[in-house]
Amino acid sequence: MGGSYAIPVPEQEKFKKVTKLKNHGTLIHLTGPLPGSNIEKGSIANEKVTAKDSEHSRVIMLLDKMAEGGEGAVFRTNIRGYVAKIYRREKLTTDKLEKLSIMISKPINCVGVCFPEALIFNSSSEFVGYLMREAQGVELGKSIFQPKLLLQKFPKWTRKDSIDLCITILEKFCYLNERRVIVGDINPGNILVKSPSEVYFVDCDSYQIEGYPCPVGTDNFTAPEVGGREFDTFLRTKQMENFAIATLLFMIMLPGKPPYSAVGGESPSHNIKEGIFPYPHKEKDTDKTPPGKWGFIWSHMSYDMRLAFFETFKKGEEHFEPQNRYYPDEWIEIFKKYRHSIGLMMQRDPMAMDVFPTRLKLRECKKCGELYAPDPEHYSPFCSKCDKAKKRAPLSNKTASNNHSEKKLCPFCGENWIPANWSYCDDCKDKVYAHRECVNCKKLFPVSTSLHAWEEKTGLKRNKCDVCRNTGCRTTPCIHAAKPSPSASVSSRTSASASVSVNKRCPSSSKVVSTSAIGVTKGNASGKSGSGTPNSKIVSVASGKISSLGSSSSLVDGKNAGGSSGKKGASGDGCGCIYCVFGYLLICGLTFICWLASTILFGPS
Amino acid sequence: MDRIIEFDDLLDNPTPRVPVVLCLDCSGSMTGAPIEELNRGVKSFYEEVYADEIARYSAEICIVTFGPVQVETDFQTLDVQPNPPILRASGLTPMGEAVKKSLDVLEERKKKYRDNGVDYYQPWLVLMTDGYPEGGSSQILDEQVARVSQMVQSRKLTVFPIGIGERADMATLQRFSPNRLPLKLQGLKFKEFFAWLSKSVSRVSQSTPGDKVTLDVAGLSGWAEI
Repeated sequence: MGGSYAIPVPEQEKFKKVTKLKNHGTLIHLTGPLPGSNIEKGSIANEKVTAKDSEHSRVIMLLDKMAEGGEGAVFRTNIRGYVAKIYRREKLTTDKLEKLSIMISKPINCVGVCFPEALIFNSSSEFVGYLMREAQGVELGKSIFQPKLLLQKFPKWTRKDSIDLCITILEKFCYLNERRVIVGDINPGNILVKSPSEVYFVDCDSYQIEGYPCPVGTDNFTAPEVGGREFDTFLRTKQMENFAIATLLFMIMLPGKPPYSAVGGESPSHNIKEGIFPYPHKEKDTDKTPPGKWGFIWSHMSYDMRLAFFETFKKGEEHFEPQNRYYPDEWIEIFKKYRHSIGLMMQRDPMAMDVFPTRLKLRECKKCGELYAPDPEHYSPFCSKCDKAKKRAPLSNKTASNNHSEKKLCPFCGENWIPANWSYCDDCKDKVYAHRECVNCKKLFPVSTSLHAWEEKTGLKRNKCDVCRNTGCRTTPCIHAAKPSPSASVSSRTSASASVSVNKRCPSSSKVVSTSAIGVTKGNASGKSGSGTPNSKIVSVASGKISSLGSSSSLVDGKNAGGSSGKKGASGDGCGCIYCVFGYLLICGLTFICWLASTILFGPS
Repeated sequence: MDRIIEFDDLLDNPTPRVPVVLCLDCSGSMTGAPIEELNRGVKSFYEEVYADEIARYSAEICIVTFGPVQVETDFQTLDVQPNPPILRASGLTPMGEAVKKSLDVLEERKKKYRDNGVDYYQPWLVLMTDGYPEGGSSQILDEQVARVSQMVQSRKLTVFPIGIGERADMATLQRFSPNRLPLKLQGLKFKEFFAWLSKSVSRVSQSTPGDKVTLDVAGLSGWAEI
């Protein structure tokens, strides 16, 4: 379901596909002692217990009690890097024993996922707990999800770190979901962060496997189709998991802010059900955005990132319905694309890298072309200077005419009135109309509505993507296009393309390569396991100073790939003023000459 | 990297809030050991909530006292206002007016949450008294009893009415608590009570709004006469 994999996981390594919920078990009455029950947190138990996995059995020592909670206590053990969870008496049930026995029977071996690896028995050979790897780092809820704690614990944190953290987390979800493990209770308390590339999943005994549900959950991360059911009365679907993952990602990118916290005060579960997503896109529903920095952070994300969140969380949009939600591997593509573009976005607006920007993203004035910081209270497509001038002077033919008869509805959105001589409204002119294969590099590239309009009018047809146009590349395969356009990989989820599939496996699924794999994840883009990235040029775009800037812009941002040549369009994610220029060209009928001129003047370098 | 970023707590703190109103009897009869113990209890409450990294940004504490009804400190997270006010005992016991003030400031705060897209949990009202209502209007008292019951029934408020000492009017406290019996503090165990309260606040702040959170009933025996 979750996309195709280069090396498929053998069926015997996956948990069984089960659709029927297991019945509740009964309490196990211990006749022997409960190890470590009589000591305080912090003191040392020094008790012998037996750890058994499916093949071996071995006596281990419980050392100091590290933590205590409602379920039980966690002890350090004499096995380096491993800790033991010992349940409270009232939590020891037959179904827990069955579930854990199945869990330890599969080789779940992904660094950072503290999965049960062996059962623990007391001196009377009764089941009391399980053995797992020790986690490190600090809970999301006590770091990334609280702006002040984030800056305190990770003072150098940037937006790129947030992106990397999302990718690291997503890779673990890919690994687990592929083996039919549903995490279920995704929440800020059970993911620990040590660095953007080093993350630990804890409380794995609650994960859903086979017929054993994840019995807990929280409102914010619960998909609308759950409809208020108790968590231990049904099996979660992958779609429900995808909802929780999307929420988690949103709360990492907007540190701690749940996607459904909206002005107007309904409860999160109400907003989730109604799909009331308060962030603007396509210029809709902007009055519900929570004030403060949230709107700023939102505006600085790449177009595709915003689109992905918007379409997932807003009712009626393309990815809102459960079956259409993005899978972890698709999110990875979106995040990688964003990471590629961030260097370019920085060039246009230095605040693009900040986790907490203090204003909206700079826009290009639709009149003078200068960059300006929009006023969140008063939307205007012009800089303050031009805006004032506009108010004084009568309206030009381009902006709007007051005469209704000369107007028509935008044929794309059907909502905005536009002058009769326009093709689409300002909001829609940059939208992707269709995807087309580049004759040169064979990758899909987006065709914007304005490009489409121009083609209709001139009878010409664009057959190369921006990358190939700008570089003049004629080799096949094109050396400038490292990856297929992510939108392509998203739409055709069954195609097994090597370069896509590299990302889908847990980078650290083998212990041996774990450290180096993590290093790679942090350091640079997609070269994770060495294969699949035909060249390193695009990869290094992330560092922001490469001659193929123009080329990456189309990889990065579907919005930009339309009619423009290199020019200022090289900036990763923009208001699309290049199209304004383009629009004028249409009117003047000087398209060809101006294109030549602009290529010469503002060429990709 | 320059990291001087201004944060406005109400706007920029994403943590869902637990609004807690402490409506405390500070009438003349509390003079001496009771008010001292109460101050100590409130101080340890502040310290313990502050020490919890989630509750610090989640619990917003408002203290209303009566003697004369007074808002000692309006809703703030302890990250913003970590120091408790020092309470002094004087005056009569206008309980109805005090509850009215408490609920009024609570309504204002809830409106602010809604206007700013801030999630919040069911608010808590802790009502402590050592005597009978005195010096206030009985009509206002009746109105507030009805208001509180209505809020509790519609799950918009959790009330903890607590009697201090032998002379506390448990019958009136009972009227404010439609769902459970009011509790009586053992001696002057304010500190134990507030330790329990801070733990309960921490527990709530780790859940998400709307989730059911069960109270630590076992912990009650540490401070309440049952």
